[in-house]
Amino acid sequence: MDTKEFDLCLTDSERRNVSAAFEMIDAIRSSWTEPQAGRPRLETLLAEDFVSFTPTSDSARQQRLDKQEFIDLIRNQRSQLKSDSSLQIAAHTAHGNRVATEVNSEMKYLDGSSVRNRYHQLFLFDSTGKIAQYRTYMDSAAIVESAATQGEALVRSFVVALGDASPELKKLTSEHFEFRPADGSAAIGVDSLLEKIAAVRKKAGKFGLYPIEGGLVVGEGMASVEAQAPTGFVHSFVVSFDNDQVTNAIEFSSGILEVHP
Amino acid sequence: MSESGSGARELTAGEQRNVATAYEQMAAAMAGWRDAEEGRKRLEAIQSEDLDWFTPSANPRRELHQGREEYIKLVTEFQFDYYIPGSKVEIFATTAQGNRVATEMISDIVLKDGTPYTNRYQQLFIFTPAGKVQVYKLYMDTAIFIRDDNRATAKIGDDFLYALSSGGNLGIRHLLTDEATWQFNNLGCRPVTMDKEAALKRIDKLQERLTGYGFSPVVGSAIVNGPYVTVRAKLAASDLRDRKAVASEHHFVIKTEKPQESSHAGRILGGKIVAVREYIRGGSLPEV
Repeated sequence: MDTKEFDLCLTDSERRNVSAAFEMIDAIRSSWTEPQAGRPRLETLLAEDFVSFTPTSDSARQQRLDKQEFIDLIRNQRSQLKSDSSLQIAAHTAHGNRVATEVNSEMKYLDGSSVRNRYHQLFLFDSTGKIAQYRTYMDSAAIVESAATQGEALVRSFVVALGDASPELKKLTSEHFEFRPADGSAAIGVDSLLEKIAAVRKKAGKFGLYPIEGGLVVGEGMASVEAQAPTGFVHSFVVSFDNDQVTNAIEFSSGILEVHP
Repeated sequence: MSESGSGARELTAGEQRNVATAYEQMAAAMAGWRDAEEGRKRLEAIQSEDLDWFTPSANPRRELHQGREEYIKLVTEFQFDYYIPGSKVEIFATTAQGNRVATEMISDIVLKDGTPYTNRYQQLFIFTPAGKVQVYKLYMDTAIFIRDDNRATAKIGDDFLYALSSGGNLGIRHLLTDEATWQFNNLGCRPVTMDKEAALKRIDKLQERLTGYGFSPVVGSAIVNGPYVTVRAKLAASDLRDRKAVASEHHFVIKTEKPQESSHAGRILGGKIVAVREYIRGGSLPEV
């Protein structure tokens, strides 16, 4: 059954609500490419007391956005998303002031990563046909997994750059990055660390760090790393990170500098 | 039943029947938690034999398509065995159109080991012309399963440190599978891998040699992902032979055997350890 035939039974206001739900998804998409066009469309569609949230029983993830916060969130996505990201309503169910929409998305990020998701959204309309609530039920595990994947990529790059004494390490670490050696001596910054690892490489001839199987355990903002050197020693680190930079690393046995003093 | 508001059309008889059937499915599921036979009978009456039941996801590991029998088994076997009386699901709003009914629902469940499991859903039921449930899509907050899995896995890490600090080794013996391995990396040394019995012997010897052999977890240090939990803990003991203080920080990487797949039913606490890898900083342990 096509959408038009499926919607024949709807009242005029129900049909208006369905159109508004489709218009909102289209306005979100256009905000990614033409923010000047997207914002006024969202302003028109959303009620002044609009609220958006993802229903969850997890207090740590509960977040409610008002109209301006929601519009800002969509606008800010533009700086992270590629223009061929997609958001598409696959099917809808409407009655009275409620429209439920099944939506598929593929968010393609400028850093090359992408997240696909499936949603069952609920739009609640006020009596004037404005969207009063936007509840996004979704496969939220996809978001958590995506964050973990990004964290894992950062930490893996950090460990490889550390083993190679690569200047790339500077890009991967924050301004106040600290490395705390396994022997419990004072923390050192990235420049001193690079110097020491370069000396180890010079002495050892061949040196590098390669995460062992199961040796990257990445949580929220923190990761455990176990990496083996060609010498057979396993070096372990607990790495903290924030956004896209490593903020500190705590070294455990076997200390690189103990093994290659 | 529905916060349908003004301008709502009157539902047709077929739509009303579909809404009633969606409510009946959840009531039948709850009946199955108390009385497996009743649950089966009621679900067979309303679900199509070729029911397609799944949680929509772009990840094929999570979008597992299952049939009527699997759904009935989940309700009448797993949930019957593991949920305490009073556990419930409650539809609080519906949206019906044609052969589709969307229902918003809350679950408030407690597993028999005392673990609460609650979730928020917007389900979608698609009906056959005869009014049987043909497709049942369970959209829900799937990150809850990651949180609950992580909590259960973190508990294994807590139990491990507690047992390791207990002054005996029966607790650790119970936590490790028979095939478990323990790798110890002393400072500046290559790793030494022990089987379970050798690892337990090492703990015995350390307990004999060190007074106060026990670990205080570093608050907020646990990292959990999949079957792994890693935790940092501090040891402050003294060597009985020379009375010297032994102080070090340990990093334990613990691999559990618990399967970490998302489920529709909450996570049971408990689980065994298949591998421990122990690292140290700021000191070293005596060779025993």
